[in-house]
Amino acid sequence: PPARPRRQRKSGFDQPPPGGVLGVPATGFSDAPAGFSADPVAAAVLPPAPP
Amino acid sequence: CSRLHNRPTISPTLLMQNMYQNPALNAPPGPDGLPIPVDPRKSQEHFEDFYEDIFEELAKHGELENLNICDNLADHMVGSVYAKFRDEDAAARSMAALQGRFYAGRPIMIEFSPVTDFREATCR
Repeated sequence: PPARPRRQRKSGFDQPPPGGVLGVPATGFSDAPAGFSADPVAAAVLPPAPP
Repeated sequence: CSRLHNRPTISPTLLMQNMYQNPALNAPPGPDGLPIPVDPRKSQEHFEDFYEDIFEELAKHGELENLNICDNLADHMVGSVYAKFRDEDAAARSMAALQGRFYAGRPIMIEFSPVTDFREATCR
């Protein structure tokens, strides 16, 4: 049979969720206070605060 | 599936769980509370668009031997996509390229699958 004509449409790949991606700031900047890391992985390895 | 499936560290086959969203599953409810039936032609077109998307993306990383998309409505394997490449390296490249990305607003969950022969693929 003849090949199906290709439709002109946008691929579904890399379409983020409507509300954006959680944990990824849109601008790359973080509003976290000084001393805290916006990176959850880096935050997890910070040493505990002294008593 | 309630069986414990092994997850190989490398395989020519990739599994993307729950990736295909059958339009019938997301159909809005009608006045009777039941989902409004989806036009079979629209449903087929939706499936072909999805298949084309997946094939084109995966084929960038190597030769595909088999691409199976589960478009069933039952819970078991619903929306699962199995892609078997000619070799493991192509599957690994493809996996690396897809991890952390989104498809149609949903994160792609990708892993290697032990399935290599789809004719005999049953849950053991």
